[in-house]
Amino acid sequence: MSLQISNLSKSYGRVRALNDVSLAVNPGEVLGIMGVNGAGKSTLLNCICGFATPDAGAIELGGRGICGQRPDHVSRAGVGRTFQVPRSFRSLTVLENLLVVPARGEPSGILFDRAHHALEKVKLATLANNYAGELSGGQQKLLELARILILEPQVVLFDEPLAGMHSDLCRVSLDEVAEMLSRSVAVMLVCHDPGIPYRLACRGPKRPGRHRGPSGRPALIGG
Amino acid sequence: MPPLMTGAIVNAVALGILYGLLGLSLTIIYGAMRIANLAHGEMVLAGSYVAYVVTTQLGYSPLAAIPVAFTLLFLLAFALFAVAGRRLQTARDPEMASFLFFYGVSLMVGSGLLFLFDADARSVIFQFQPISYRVLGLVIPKARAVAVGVALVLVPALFLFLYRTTPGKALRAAVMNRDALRIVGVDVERLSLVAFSVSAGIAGVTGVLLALVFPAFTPFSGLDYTITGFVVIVLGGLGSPLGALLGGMLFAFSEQLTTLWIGQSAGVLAGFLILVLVVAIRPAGLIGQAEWKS
Amino acid sequence: MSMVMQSVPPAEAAPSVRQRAPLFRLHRASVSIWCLTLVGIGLIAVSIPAVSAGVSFWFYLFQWIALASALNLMAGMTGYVPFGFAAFFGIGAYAAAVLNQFHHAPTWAALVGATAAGALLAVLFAPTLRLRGVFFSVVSLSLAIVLRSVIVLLPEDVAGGSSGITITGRHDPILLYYLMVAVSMGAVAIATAISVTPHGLRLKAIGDDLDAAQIIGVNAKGLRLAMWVLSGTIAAVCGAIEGLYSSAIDPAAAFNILISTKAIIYAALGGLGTVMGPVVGAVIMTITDELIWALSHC
Ligand SMILES: Nc1ncnc2c1ncn2[C@@H]1O[C@H](COP(=O)(O)OP(=O)(O)O)[C@@H](O)[C@H]1O
Ligand SMILES: [Mg+2]
Repeated sequence: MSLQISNLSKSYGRVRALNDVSLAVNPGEVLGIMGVNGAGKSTLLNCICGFATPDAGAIELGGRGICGQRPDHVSRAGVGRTFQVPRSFRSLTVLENLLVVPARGEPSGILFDRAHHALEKVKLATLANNYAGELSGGQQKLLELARILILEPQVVLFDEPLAGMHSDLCRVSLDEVAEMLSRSVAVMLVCHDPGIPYRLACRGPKRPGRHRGPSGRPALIGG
Repeated sequence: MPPLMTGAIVNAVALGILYGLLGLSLTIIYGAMRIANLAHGEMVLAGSYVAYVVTTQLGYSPLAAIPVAFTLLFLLAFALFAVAGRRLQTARDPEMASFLFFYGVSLMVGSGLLFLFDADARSVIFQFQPISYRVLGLVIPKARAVAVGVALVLVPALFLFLYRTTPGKALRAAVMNRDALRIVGVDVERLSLVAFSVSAGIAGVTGVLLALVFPAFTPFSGLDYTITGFVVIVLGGLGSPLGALLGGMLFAFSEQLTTLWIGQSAGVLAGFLILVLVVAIRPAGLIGQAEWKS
Repeated sequence: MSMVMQSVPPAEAAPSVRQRAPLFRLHRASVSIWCLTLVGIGLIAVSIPAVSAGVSFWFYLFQWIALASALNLMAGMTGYVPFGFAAFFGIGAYAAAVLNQFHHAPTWAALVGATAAGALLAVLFAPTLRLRGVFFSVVSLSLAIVLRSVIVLLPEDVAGGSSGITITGRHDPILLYYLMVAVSMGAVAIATAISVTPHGLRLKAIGDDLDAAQIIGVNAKGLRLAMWVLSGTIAAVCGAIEGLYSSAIDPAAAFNILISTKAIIYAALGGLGTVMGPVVGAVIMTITDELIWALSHC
């Protein structure tokens, strides 16, 4: 599914956080979002997810308008996101953090196995039964990534996923993103290093019927 | 303006400032410590009983009861905080923990007053000289004038403290972010201790003043004061001192004017309806911060 | 701490993957034990009238179990503490009394009416769920006070006015007692059912971080509303049964804020957010109440 944003504007009081932003991400594509702090990157993600209502413009997911919908509806429509400051459910265990996702009609045993698998992928399996509130900031980012893996959204929005992460764990995260791209997920990635979207774009496996792997480009936002 | 109307307005102003004072001490505690002081009404009531002892039983002026009530409640709160303050603030859910703790305190203070003074209604009996003033054709009892006068001194003093002095500003900052305040070197624990004790002292003084305005009180009146206090600060905006004053005024005006126009029972209804309306339109209260709505 | 940080823990350390999904925290065995306990309590409750002279103590014991459990559905599981919980109890009592006394509805119809009134009131008050923390608590309390004042202001032949309603028809106290037992067991069963399904986890998640819960697709508003309606409806049924049992309903007693605070205290004493907590808290406190009363009157 592709995500299409056109002429989006959003102001907080006199602060114009988004000014006529238009961009699009297609399946298998990674779009880097860059800009100085306060440029409105997180605001853009908030508008897409339904946490903020844009003043003007349109947001379309696979051709269907999702502007102004509730966050849980947007999520069910296939959009996943991580937060700049990671947010987990502190009074649940790491494993339970993944089991809370709304059921998709699969037997609970399968969800359980997938949750364990996701935790192994992000190297949190040993902490499965610890409370999420005990995790460090970086580990919570990994938990958010695992949550995305469980949800299997078609469009993923990452808000500075690598900030403050150890380089080995950065590689873990990037591998997972690359893997998503190979499954034709559309990825929007807020970061401060223009190299990352390019690197992701180059790493993706070549798919039959196409010359290139996933395409990647950074978009600049704000002044 | 018809004299009844003028009377109602004068009453509303007098009650409003006292309600504002009631909310002010409550909002300082809530703001500085995220503690819902459910025993606030009982603290106020204890102040009223101090006034009763000092005037009706001992025969001194109610003005003498003010420092006594302040000291007594200051010490009570100091002891309470020393026992439970830290535990409450570091509890997993401080709001819930403090709610339960102070509910217990309110029961204890309430039954203590019941034990000491019986269930009968008490009132402050003291003859001021002169008994009343005559202003613009209105008879204003001196007791009421004294109460409002003291509140009129206390409220600006509190505002000066909160908005002009460093500890006052730190206290208001504590409403917004306690950890950030710690990092810049403020001893938040001590600040909370002082804030809580002083607020309790002011609650006691408010009790003395309310005893001058309301005809009588019983050991069960505490809950009404607590409810009024919370309504006032929610109306004005949690943690906002100015909001508490505005909320007090609005609550008193809606109560008094509705009583005048429709009747006593509708007066009570009006205050609460105003609260529901205001919060429906502005979930954070009149001048509260938006962080409180979901 | 050493400056050379070891990076990722080795993957071999991963625990063995359990094959069966657990019942979220609670083990199947402990859930079975709990259900058996409930059945046991139910059996004891049913046999009380045969062995005991009066059911009054037991009636109120089960009433408080029901009220504390109902309150816990909201306060414990969603973190919204409704000080105005008494409004549901009151509306239930009034609905049953008005239907039975003024409109001569049979007991069952009065109870159905009270249930509907409770659910309706919950839906009517649902906009307050936009508020949080003390805001929610105080506004819900205010609504309870408003509701009480409105009932007092209504004409006497509609809702009894300020003196309340006296029910003159006879109602079998044993039958009402059984009904109260059924309601309390139902409330506890509902709480159990919620906490062994993922809904229990979702409610905890909403309490921890609303935004994050929504972003993974949890319908926070719907779930919260469901708990609110459940909680209010159970309280209304309790009010209705108690009203018929005591056959005297007046505004001060039916909307007494003590109903809210007692339910909160009882639930919190045993443990908010747990299934067993409100039951344990209500039992301990009702017995303590009874003992104090007995001691002070001998
Ligand atoms: N909820 C909000 N209320 C008021 N202002 C906001 C809010 N969210 C963001 N802003 C403002 O919008 C601008 C963009 O913020 P943000 O999107 O977080 O920037 P960034 O690009 O660093 O992620 C900033 O100036 C910020 O102050
Ligand atoms: Mg940002």
